[in-house]
Amino acid sequence: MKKRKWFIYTVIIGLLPLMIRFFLFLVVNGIGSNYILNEVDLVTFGLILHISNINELEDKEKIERVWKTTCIGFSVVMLVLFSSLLAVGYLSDISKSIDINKNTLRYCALFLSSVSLIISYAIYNRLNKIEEASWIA
Amino acid sequence: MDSIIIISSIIVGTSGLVFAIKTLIDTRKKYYKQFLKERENRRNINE
Repeated sequence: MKKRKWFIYTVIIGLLPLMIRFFLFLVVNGIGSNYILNEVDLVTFGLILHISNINELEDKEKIERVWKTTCIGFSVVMLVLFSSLLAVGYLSDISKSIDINKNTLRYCALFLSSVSLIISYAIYNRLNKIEEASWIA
Repeated sequence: MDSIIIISSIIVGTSGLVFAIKTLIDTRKKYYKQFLKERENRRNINE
């Protein structure tokens, strides 16, 4: 149940900007394929996944403390990195004098958000199993 | 600037991937007994 809720409320809502961009790409003429994968949207998706991980783990008490601390710590590190990427992304929009390759930013954001999706799935999968185990017991 | 972004992304991304795979494997190992128990219960109900 937890996993399904995570998928509907977090993943789909997080991917909404990308879906809207894809829809616009299909409907409006003259938009390049680069328009679909926007680095800021990808970074926002990663931020949403990690903040939901932290929120879900914070109030759980019947799980291993070491694992919980590792997950929260990792999510915090990812949040810091995503925030930095977001700042760089905004900066590259404002100032043209800063030497940042937009494609590098885009592919790094794509890689990190994909990894974040896998991490988030692993965390929710475990929480789901723990919940099922508590029902059986 | 680009190299800093690439290197930090690779380091954090790879370690994240390793952590996720480790968590998935641990979960599978830990809750495999539970899965077997559920399967046995289902078999008993069907019989």
